[in-house]
Amino acid sequence: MDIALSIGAGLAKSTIAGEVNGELIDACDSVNEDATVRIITSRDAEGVEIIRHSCAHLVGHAVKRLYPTAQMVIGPVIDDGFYYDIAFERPFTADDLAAIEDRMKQLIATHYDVLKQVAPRDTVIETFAERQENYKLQLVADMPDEEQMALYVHQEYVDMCRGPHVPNTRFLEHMKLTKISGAYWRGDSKNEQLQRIYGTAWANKKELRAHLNMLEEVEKRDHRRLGKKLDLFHFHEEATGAVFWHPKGWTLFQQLIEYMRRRQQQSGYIEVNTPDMMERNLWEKSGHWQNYQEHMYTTDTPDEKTLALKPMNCPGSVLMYNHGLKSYRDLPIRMAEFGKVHRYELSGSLHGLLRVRHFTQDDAHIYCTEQQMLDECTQIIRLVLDIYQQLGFSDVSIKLSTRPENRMGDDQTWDILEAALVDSLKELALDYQLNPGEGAFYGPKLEFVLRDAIGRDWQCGTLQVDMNLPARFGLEYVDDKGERQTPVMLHRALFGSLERFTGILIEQYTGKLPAWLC
Amino acid sequence: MLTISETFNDYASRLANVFAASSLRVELDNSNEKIGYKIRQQTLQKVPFMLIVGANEVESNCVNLRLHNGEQISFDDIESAVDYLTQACRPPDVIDQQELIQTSIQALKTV
Ligand SMILES: [Zn+2]
Repeated sequence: MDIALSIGAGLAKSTIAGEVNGELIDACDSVNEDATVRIITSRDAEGVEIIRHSCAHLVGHAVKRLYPTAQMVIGPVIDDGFYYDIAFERPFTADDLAAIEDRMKQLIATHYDVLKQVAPRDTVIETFAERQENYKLQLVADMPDEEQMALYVHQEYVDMCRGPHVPNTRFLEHMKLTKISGAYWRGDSKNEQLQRIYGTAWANKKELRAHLNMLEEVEKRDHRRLGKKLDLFHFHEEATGAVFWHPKGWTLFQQLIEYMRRRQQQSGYIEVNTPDMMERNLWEKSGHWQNYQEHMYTTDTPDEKTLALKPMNCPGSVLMYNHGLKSYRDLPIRMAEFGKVHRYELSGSLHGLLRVRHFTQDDAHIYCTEQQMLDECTQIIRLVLDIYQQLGFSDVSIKLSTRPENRMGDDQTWDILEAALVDSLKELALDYQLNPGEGAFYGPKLEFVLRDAIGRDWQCGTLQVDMNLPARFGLEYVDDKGERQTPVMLHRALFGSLERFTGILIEQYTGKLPAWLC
Repeated sequence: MLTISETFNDYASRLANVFAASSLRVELDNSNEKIGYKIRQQTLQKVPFMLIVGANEVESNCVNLRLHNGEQISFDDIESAVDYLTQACRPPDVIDQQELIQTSIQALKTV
């Protein structure tokens, strides 16, 4: 603080914290050696993060004033805001949330100083024991090696934290509490249930306003809300993560499939359908049994077979390719399938149509020669961009993920596969973002990310080159010299999951869908 | 399709059949509610087009169409309403395809 003051009183007034040799410190900390010092104000990203973090502490201060028996757990910073997990004997209501926010505003208005105390371990334990903050005591016990800890004193309220924090509550003016949700101690559903209070905080009124408008817009567009209001679909607890489509929602879904079917037919695809359930030995051969089993639904039949619902369409497609010997004259084979796949996901990760356990992919596998690969990739990219454009998404970004550390195949093959993707992007004069080392072990990948009407990004389409499955399943074609060769296999899905894409469309159009989808 | 009163239900259901036979997705609200209420309900449901059926329509076979934004379009006969809606409900790929075909035909004419 003295450093800021030596530069000017104005700067000192707006000082939130400092950065010394790259490390954030509190405004009250002293610098005892020659160092590179940066003063952090609310204009810095770090400053806003500190404001959010201090707001979390302030939730603690307000909650303990209003509900003295509540116990504070953890209060971290998240994207655009903060939350605090709290143990309390009854669920907080919307009225409670308003009361807590009111009290926070009152406390902010008093402009009290936030004081930092570095205390020895024993004192910390004593402080929290006296206050019956049992969760804080457990957190202290989790850090047995810490000899001393920083306590931040908000008048009568004390919190433990790495810091730094604002020196005074006047920096916290532009905040708002947004919602309450459930949480578990240590994030484990076997533990005690806690309540999580979320909030947002910004450097100034304008930024707070803009963010609240965005939240309102997101709420207004929420496809779960619109799905109910417009009678499009619902979910049932007897089928977690599976959609019950109502007539209008199903029309929308079917129109998208019909649309994609026409586009694919015009682009030289054939459409097939493969079984939903296939035997264990197939999944062992594809590697899913070994690597993906916790996501698979399996069943044993009276004739003592083990079958699995398909979590992906690829193995079925490969069996289809292998049915009958292929000649180079048959290639490329562009084999599409609207395949319903089933993947067990934890119930906590499910989210409306955006994340379900049972969904339909607009999947296609393209079997071609190495020479045809570049042209096939170019055609797919052109198709995907045209489709997004027609559906109202013109802002699309592309990510290229290249060879990872652990991979199959030699470097020369990887050179060819990556070059096919890069060259096809170049041919279409498209920019892309490179994610080095992020490809799958069996091949590189393109991802297509849509930006929606309110600036949110959705990853939808993928194009993947694969050298694993063709080898594992011994795929072949006879080349022009009568020799057997292994084809290249491309996996591509443009909508990705039809269920998810439907959800994205509902949000993009705020439910007011183009007439052809109604 | 919304009827102004139950008197027009029979005409409306026959008219709805014409639109359905033209591959348009049509739903008939012939309930006993006031027309203002029906329009409000369908607007909230974000239905893109509303066809209002009352005495005028039955008498002269004209068609009155109300868009979601409140704008109204009148057609003198049923055929032009079917044509208009068929055009308005084309998927984007079909629109592009039809434009492409038109351009190709034009190009052939100038050869
Ligand atoms: Zn695949």
